[in-house]
Amino acid sequence: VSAHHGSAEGRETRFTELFARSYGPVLGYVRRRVGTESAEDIVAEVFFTAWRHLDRAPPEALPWLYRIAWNAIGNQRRGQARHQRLQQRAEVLAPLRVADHADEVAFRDTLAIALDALAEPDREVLRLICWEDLDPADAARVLGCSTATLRVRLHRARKRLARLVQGAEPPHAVAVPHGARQDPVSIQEKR
Amino acid sequence: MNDKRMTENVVASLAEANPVPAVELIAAARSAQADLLLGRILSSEPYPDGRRRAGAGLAGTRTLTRKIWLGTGAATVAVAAAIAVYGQTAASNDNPAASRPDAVAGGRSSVRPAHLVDFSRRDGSIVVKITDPDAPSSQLNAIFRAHGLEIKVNVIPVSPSLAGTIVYSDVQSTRELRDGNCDTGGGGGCWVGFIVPASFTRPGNVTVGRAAHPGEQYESTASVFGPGEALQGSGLVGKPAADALPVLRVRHLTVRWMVNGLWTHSPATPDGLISDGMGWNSTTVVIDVHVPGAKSPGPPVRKH
Repeated sequence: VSAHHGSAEGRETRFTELFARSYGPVLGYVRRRVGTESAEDIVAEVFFTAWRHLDRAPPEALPWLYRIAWNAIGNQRRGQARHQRLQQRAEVLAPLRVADHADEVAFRDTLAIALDALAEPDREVLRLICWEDLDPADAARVLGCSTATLRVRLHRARKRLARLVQGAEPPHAVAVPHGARQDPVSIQEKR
Repeated sequence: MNDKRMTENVVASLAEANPVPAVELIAAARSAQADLLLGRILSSEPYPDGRRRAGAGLAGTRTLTRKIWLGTGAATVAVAAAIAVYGQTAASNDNPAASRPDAVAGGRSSVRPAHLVDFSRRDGSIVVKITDPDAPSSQLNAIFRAHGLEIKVNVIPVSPSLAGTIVYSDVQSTRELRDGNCDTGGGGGCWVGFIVPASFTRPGNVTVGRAAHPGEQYESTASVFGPGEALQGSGLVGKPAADALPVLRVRHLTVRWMVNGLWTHSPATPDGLISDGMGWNSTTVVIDVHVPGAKSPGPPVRKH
């Protein structure tokens, strides 16, 4: 009985430690994608899922949690109308447009519009690297692809973003990776 | 500017334009909102398919624990009241997060409320009762933090009459909440909670007793002859040590003798009169024996 009890307490301790380490990063990850309003519910869903599937958690759990969060966001978006998605996206992108100087404002506005114009897979890989500060191997774990594939995706996404910022490529001409739809669900389904 | 340089600049700018900088999230894990979420998760079903935790024995242990606890009369009222009023207290609590559990839990019906600690208000004070001492310390700590109290809860195995009671506290500016219908083995009402001013913010430590598992050594123990303890009603205090042997046999207990305050390693039953004793674990008791005329006076004989 003691051993069993220890196992249950060990599980709770392990989860508590994981929660303490990961709550902030996961909250940030979700807020960067859905805005503040919906983040609370999704973060709760992420950690409830993690609690129920704790046995599957790898030692470095953050990419695993991001992947759960990505699925949760995909589930949420599936049930929403397009205008709601666009509204959410505008909320997330709004902070990009705030800056002190006029030229910075203009540049960040351009950057926000360019990011918004990217296909979701491109946008996600850039967010993972630039905002979540993951290395390519961890970003690949989140997206369920190989590190090599991730590097290729990242390279292409960077170039597309730069071209959009330069105005060299109109938004409607953005290439979508083969087999991917412009919806987070497409990434989720490929895993 | 060449393409490569331009790409690097754009990507660098994107990194700088992070809409939720990491620095904003440093304190997030210690927020009341996070604490409340953690408490709710830890009190929810831990496996996806509803199977029990590894080892069904745990559930059995908890049942046994609760029976012992309730058997002392210690916190019957507290448990019933806590479960009954949880919804009201959660809804009326000043903590805004606690007043909207569905928002935090995502409105999922599988999430049951955590009624491990009962918080209620009385005349400008907060009355706190720990209603489930079987809960792990981390969970109890999280709930206290969620209510703005930096009180660390340590849960230790104790002898039966102390299960569900507070056995130690260094929390300042508190009043003890005692259950007058309950006696511990040490005598007096059971210390089942505390009362702090509503504005209370000082840190502190509280140690709560839980029922020990079979064979687990008690970290806090009461007189073994007291209410709820292993030799309650045996009438052995003041009797010759040899009189304890048949009683111990009937109650399936083994004994360690302490003669005039000193352990004896002799397997023989010592001469002298039984003066007191304490529980060691669920199957072993320590009995103090006083030998008149010996150099060490030993503890005085207790009356039960």
